Amino acid sequence: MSVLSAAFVTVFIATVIAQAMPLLLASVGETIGEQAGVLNLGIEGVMLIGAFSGFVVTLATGNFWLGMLAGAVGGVIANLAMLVLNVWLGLNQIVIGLAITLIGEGLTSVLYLQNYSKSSTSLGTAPELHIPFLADIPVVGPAIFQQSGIFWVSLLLAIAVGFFLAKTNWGLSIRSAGQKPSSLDAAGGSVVKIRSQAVILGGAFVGFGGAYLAELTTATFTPFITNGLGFIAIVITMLSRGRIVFVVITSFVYGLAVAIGPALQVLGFAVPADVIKMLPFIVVILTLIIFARSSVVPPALGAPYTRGAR
Amino acid sequence: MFTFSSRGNQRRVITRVAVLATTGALAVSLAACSGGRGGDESTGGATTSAGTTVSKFALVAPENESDFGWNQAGLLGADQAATELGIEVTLVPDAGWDNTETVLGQVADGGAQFIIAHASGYGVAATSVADAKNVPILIQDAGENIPGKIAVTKTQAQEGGYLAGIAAAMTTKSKTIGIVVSADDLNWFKMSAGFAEGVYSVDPSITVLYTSVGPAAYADAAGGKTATEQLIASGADVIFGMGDGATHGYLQAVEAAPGVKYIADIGDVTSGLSDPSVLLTSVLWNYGPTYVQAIKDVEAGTFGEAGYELTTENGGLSLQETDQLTPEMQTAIDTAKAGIADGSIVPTPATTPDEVAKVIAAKGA
Repeated sequence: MSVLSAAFVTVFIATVIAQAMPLLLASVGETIGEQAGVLNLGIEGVMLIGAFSGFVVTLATGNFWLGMLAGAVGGVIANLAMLVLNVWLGLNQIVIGLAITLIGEGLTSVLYLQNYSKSSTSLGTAPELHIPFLADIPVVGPAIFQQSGIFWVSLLLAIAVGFFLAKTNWGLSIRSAGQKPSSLDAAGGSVVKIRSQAVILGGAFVGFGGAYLAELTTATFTPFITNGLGFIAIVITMLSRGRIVFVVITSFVYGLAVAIGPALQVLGFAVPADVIKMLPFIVVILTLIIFARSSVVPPALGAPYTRGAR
Repeated sequence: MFTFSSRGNQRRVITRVAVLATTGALAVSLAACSGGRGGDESTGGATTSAGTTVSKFALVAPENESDFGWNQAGLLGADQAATELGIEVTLVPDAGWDNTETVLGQVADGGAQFIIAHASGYGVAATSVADAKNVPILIQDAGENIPGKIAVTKTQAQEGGYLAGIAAAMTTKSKTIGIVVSADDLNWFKMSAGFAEGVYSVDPSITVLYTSVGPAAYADAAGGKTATEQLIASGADVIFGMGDGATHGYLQAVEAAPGVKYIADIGDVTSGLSDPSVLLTSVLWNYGPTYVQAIKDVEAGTFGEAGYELTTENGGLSLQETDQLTPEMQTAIDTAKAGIADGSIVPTPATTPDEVAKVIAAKGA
C-alpha cells in the first residue's frame, strides 16, 4: 500500500474538518459576545466545561446528540459568571475572563481525575450521516459527506448566526451594543438585555465547540484537552471583525495547518516536532500580520456599560 | 464633584493599603525563606545519610496514574517497593512542574527518609533539596550521582523497544508499522530506534513510519488521535505509541480502525481500552526492583555511589503478556532478550529525531 493513498487523503481531509470545527464553533460564540461588546477571555475554560459536560453525558448515555446539548448547557452555565459579574455588575471583563479560564481548567481536571482516570473513557465513533451519491464520490465523499449529523448541524448553526448578525434587527441590536451602547440605549433598547442574550448564546456555542472537540475530534476527554484552542478563537474572532464567513475560512486554515504536520512526517519529510506544533500558530500570526491593519474591534469592546456614565 | 474626589481618595487609600500589604507579605515570605535556609544549613552540614534506616519514603510525580505511562509506572513501582520492604510510602502525584523544590522540601519535612523525584525535569530542584534537607533523592535520566544525596536512574529503553519491534513485525499483515510519539523525549528516541531495529531484525522489507505530535505534547489527546489516524491511513496495522496523556488519542484512533493492533509503552493501558484484544503488548517499565535496591543502598550508606538502570536483563524492562503474543513471538522475543544480555545484539540508543530517522532509513543494515 502506497503511503499517499486515497485512504490517506480521505483521512487528511477528515482531520482538517475535525480540527477546524471546535475552533469554528468557539469563534462563532466569541464573535456573538464581542459584537455585543463583551470580550470573553474565559473562552478556554468555557470550552473545557463544555467538553467535559458533553463527555460525561455521552459516556453515560451513549448518545452524542445529548452530549452536544449538555456541552452547550455547560457553556451557558460557565458563562453565567461573565453575565452576572460583568454585564450585570460591571466588573472588569479581563479579570473575570481569566478567572473563568482557571476555574474551567481546575474544575474539569479535578472532576476527571476523581471519576474517570482509572477506567475506559472511549466514546467510540459518532453515527455517520451517509449522504446519498455525494458520499460515494472517491476520496472527498467519505471525508466530507460521511460526517456525523452533528457536523452539518454545527455548520448550519454557524451560517444562521452569520445571517442573524448581519440581516436582522436582533443582529443590529447586538452590534449596536458593541459599537455605541449609549445609542442603543437612547433608541429604547436595553444594552444589558442584549449583552445578556449575547453572553448566553455565545456560551452555548463555545460549550458546543468544546463538546465537539471531546466527542468527535478526540472521542474522549483529557485534562486541558483544549490546548489553547480558546485563545486562538479569540484571535480569529478579532481578525474576522464579526464576519462569520471569515471565521469559517480561518478555522479551516487552522485545521489544515494542524493536519499537515503529522501528514508530512508520515510521508517521510523530516519535519521537526517543534515546527509541527508551531505551524498552526504561525499560520494564525501570519494571518494577523496580513490582515491586522483592517481588523477593527467594536469600540465598546471590554467596557462595561453603565447608563448615563461618560 | 465631591463624589468623584471622594472615590479618588478611596482608590488611593485602597491602592496604598494593597501595596503595603503586598510588601509586608513579601517581607514575611523572604524572612521565612532566609530563616529556613539558615536552619537547614546548620543541620545539613552536620549529618549525612549514611546508614539511615528507611521506614518511610516518598515519590513525587508530575502527573498521576491515569497517563498509562511514566507516572503510572513510578507510582506502581513505589507501591511495590513499599509492600516488599514493609515500609510506609507517601505518593504525591500531580505535583506538576511549578514549585517542585517546595513540594520536595515539604515531603522531606514530612518525614520521608528517601525521596524519588519522578521526572527528568526535577533534577535541579532535587539536588537543591537533597543538599538543604539532607535527604537522599533518586532522580531520573540526567544528572550526576552525589554520594549520600543524589543517584540517577537511567533506562536502556532501546532494549525494550527492540523486543516490541519483533512482536510488531511478526504481527503486521500490511507490512507497514507506525511509531507515534508525543514529545521530544530521550527515552522515546531510544525506544523508537530499538523498535525499528527489532522490526527489521525480523523482516527488513517492512515499512516503518514515524510521526511526532509535538515537542512536548505529552497530554495532547486530540493531536495524538490525528497523528495515529494518519499512520493507519498510510497502511500501518500495528501502532507503537509513546505518549502519556496523548495515549488516550492513540487508543481512540486504534480502536476505531478494525484489525489494527497497538503496542503501548511504560504502563498497562488495558483499563483504557474498550476491547483489550487490540493491545498486542506493552513495553513495561518496572521501577519496583530499582526502588528496593536504592532504599537498601540508603540503609547501607552506599546511595549515590552509582546510578541505576532499567534493562531487559534485570527485569526493569519487559513485554506485557497478552493473549495476542503467540508462542512463536515469545520464543523470538526470548532469543532476542538473551542476545541483548550477552551483547550479541546491541540496539541503538538514539538521542535525537535525526538519529531515529537514520535508524529507520537504514532498514537494519
